[in-house]
Amino acid sequence: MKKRRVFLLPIILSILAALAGCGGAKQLVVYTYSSFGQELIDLIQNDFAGRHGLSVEVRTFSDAGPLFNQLLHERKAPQADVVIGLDSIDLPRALEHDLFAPYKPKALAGVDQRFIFDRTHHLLPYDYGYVLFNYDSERLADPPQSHLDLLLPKYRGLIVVESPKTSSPGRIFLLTTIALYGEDGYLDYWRKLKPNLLTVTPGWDEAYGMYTNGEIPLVLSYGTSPVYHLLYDQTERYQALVLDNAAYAQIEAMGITKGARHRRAAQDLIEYILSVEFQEKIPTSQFMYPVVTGTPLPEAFRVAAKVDRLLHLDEAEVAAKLDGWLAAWERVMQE
Amino acid sequence: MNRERAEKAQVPAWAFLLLLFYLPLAVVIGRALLAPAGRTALLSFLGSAQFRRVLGFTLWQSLLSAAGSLIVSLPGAYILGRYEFRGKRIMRSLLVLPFVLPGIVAVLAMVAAYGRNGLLNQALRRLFGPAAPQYTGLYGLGGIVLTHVFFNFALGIRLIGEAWERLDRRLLEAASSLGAGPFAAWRTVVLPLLRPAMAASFVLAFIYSSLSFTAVLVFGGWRFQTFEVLIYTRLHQDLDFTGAYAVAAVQLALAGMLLALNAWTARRRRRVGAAFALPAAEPLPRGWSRLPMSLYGLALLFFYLGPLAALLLRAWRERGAPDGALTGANFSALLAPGFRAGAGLEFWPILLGSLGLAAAVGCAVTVLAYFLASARGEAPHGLLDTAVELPLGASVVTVCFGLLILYGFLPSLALVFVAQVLMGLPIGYMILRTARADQGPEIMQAARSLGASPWRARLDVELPLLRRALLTAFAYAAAFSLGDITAVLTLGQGRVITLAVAVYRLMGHYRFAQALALGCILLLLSLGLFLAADRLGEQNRKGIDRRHVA
Repeated sequence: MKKRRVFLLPIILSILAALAGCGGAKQLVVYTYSSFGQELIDLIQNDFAGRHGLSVEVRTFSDAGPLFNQLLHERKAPQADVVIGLDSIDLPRALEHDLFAPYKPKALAGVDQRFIFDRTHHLLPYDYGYVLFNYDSERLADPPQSHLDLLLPKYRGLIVVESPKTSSPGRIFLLTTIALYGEDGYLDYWRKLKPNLLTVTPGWDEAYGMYTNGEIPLVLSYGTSPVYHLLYDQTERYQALVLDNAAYAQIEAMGITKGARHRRAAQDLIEYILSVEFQEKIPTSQFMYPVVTGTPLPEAFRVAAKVDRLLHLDEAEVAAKLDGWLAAWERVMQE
Repeated sequence: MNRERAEKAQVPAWAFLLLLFYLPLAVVIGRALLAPAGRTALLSFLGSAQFRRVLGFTLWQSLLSAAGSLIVSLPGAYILGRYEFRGKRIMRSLLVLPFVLPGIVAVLAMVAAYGRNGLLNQALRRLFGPAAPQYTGLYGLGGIVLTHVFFNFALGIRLIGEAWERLDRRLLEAASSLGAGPFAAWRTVVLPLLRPAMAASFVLAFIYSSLSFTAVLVFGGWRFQTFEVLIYTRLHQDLDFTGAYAVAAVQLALAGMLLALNAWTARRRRRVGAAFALPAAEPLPRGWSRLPMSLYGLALLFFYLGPLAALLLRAWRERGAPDGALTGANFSALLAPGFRAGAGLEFWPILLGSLGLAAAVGCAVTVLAYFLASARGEAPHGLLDTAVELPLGASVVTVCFGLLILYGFLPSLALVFVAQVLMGLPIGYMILRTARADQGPEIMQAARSLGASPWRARLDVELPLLRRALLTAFAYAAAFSLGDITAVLTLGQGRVITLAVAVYRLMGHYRFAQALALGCILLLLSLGLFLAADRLGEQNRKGIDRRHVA
């Protein structure tokens, strides 16, 4: 009998805690993913919250996928007010499930027009980065210059990429090959690339870990990756490659949930994230570019890759065809 | 009387399983499969070529991995079970460590040891020059199996070794006095008596390998898939819940069948020894007969400690790279202000929190598993065993999702705790029920007939006799908790940060070298935790021995 009461105790306590929480100050709820920097979370929870006299609860999810699952699950009674950390590619499915309410922030006027991917303003960009190959200049004397160079036999077993089925840079690279070689040509490109791939990893961490561990000299990462090594390792040994002088941008996005309980405060947060004082913290926290033009970049960003030509596929086309492209890619990898 | 008490004591344990495992699972999988769309998804999946391919690969690699683990573990189990030697305790604790490593760290450790540019190939190049033969088998089926053996063989050494320790020496003496040669004695006496522990470690290795995710993808280069990979991509990429849970149901059914098969084959299990057995432990032999053992020990040391050593060595290098200069900076950075930005919390709260959580999970699993195992009694309970062990085969993502749906109102820490207890419970139960079956009921009956109350008999007689098994159950459950990333990330929602999750987060922020350093600390602290637990057990035993003498 005694045991049963102990068993119930946590449940009763948590109900009491939940009830107590309801009576407190206004609490804005933010959902994000686990790579969203703690520095930025601290800014939101201290600086932003203090200014507006509210408290901010931040819940992190392991990745954009689980975050999306949670939003779908809560669709009828959303717990989150603001979601940070989706991808421009997520737009069609976000619209399809009607998860976000449109909001056109005043600060959008300062945002680089190239990255405003949603003209209906359901999802808003807050940073972007180029998905590019990086190489270890001390272990690879003659880096490739073009995507076709990657197919040369001298790079056999020296390359690691992430899977487009489980990783966002991997997905961007698949789109890169489709933008470059078309729907008819990309599978052929992958067939020829396959022998040069030491392996395909599920996430960026495994691939980049193998790269910095000296296992391979060429890895799919970001144009800003060298900045990290300059800032924290004081080395310019690791460099980004702008193959064919072109790159596809990964645009990270945020939005206000439909039916958010604190719409007003949510709008304030969106404006805050697009303010220069928040945007200038993004480069060293996320190693991504701020979307607000004129935001000062740290000196170390001189080693980030300069991209002349932006590759792009129409979001609606990507949404309609991505599943088919991924399935075809998987078949090629399993041939 | 004793049975009645035991039956009462198991009620909270069953309530735990039913409310926190079966109910959430039924809600998630049941709801998906009750809908017509779910049944269609299940049937079309079962009829697809993809199903046959994934099933075929999963069974084949799991069979190879489990067989490999068993073969590698048998000599070690023999040495651990038969002989008493210095360093035995530290060896027992070292054997739990692979479970402490989060999947991604273990994979990177394998790369650092056996990759193209790993320790092994570097050593070969140093010995034989640039034309040296190189090991290139890591990327393929060989690497997948190697990683699974690395993960699982230690479990076999511990489980089988403990059964060997409990083996009654007089049985072997009787066999040889009846004229049986060493081989015949082994085949007719030892092997049948060790079979339960061998079967348990084989089945555990098989199921863990069949659930593998990171190793299969990283070393398979997307050529191979397990059901776990399908569940993950369907859930996270396709947002196809019905399809994901249909696969989860298939995976669960597969694990259930394996566990039921294991229980069924163990129907006529013979006991290893009675409670009054003379333990077989003796000092290591001297001279030439020691050679094969030393060779095995050396080979195992290289195979086993290679990846761990690679991790330790690289943590002391600049950038964690093999050619980096020696430095302690990766460790001092853990205490620097920048650490929080990557990990999400300061070092000390993460450290103490993880150890506290692991100890709590270890204790809870040991207690629950003990009550379930002792209520089980002597009779074969295939269905019951399968019901307790089934969480082993459930996809962690699925269980977490079910917990979130039903109990999302509970504090994050409570949910993480529950999920980790569920992860550890099957292995804890398997260890304890095997040990209890070996020991037999006679001693408890004797204690009771001498007038000891049921709780006194438990406390003074049964628990000390089971102490090794209890400690092993504790160590593995605590190791699961320390190495778990999935439950903490899914259920902790940023409010619970453990060492393993901090390692993962640091990697996500480019801080690989710091992540390696933190990984080392995770390993060393876990070793300390297991050693302390082991030592505590030893002291208890000494107390008992003295009482017996008196």
